[in-house]
Amino acid sequence: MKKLSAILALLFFSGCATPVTHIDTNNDKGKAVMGLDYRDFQTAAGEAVSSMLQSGAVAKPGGGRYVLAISRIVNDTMQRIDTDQLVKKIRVDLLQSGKVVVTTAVGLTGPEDPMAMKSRQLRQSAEFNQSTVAGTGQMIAPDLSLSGKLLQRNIRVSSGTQQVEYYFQLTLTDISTGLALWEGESFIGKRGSSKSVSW
Amino acid sequence: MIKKTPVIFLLLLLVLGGCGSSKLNDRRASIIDGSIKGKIVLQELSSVISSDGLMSVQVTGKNTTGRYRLLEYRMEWFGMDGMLVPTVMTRWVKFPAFEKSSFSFRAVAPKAPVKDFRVIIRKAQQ
Repeated sequence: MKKLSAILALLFFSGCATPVTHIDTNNDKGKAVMGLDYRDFQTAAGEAVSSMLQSGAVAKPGGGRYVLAISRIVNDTMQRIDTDQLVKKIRVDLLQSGKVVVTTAVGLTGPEDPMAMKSRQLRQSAEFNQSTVAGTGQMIAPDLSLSGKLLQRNIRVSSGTQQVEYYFQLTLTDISTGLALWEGESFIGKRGSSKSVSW
Repeated sequence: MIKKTPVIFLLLLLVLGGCGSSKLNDRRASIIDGSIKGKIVLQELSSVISSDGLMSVQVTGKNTTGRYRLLEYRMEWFGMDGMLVPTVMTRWVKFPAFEKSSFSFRAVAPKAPVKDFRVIIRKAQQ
């Protein structure tokens, strides 16, 4: 009797479970969510890269590539977001465009990859072939800086409906002059039940 | 005067036919959604290479119906070796097609140079 109950319970609960499926990122028919999901980051990154390339802001006069440093990208939304979700996509495409190369040796809160500096400490070590150790004056300083802000506004449309607005604002600054060479804003708006949470 | 009527009618037909939307026949652009075929027509595909070597493509079409439609396109780029160039810009991008109006959208290649591109259009999925 106990065995039968266990089998019945197993059948009952497995029937209720939502099966796990992989997301088809090329044709995702999943419903939109009030929060930010990967589609929103793809949209914002795609729009930013497209706008940057179209504007010619990353086309270095005379050819060659600009060196870009990633500055502060502020998350001013109600969601816990790693802004690299946005920035990484932009970096990958800019690098691939052949117009920009990103430095990981310079960052607002220290280098993104401290190994470039750390490996220079090997200059004093007799254990290392000194001709293979990075020499002085070889690092390249950045020409451009990418900064930005992610904003969120929640608006009550009616008693049962809310509107959530997301703004992805980015600025590309010429470090030598301090002038913004390019600025872009992507807007993503969602409207749905006020019972849905957007954080 | 009566004999001239068929000639005038034919001329009118030719003139008015010329004013109608001419359909684009280019293997690089296609509407993949059967529900909008004939209702949305592609008219022009133009591409330019900017001074920094990036190709820009503009697609022009027309919504022949009296109903607003939200459409989306997906642009794929191919490098000089004919291989697909992966980019965050290859995604479904929504654009509006207002009733009885022309629409245009523009896309830029992810790198220079590119050999070819392909654009597909369908009704927006959500």
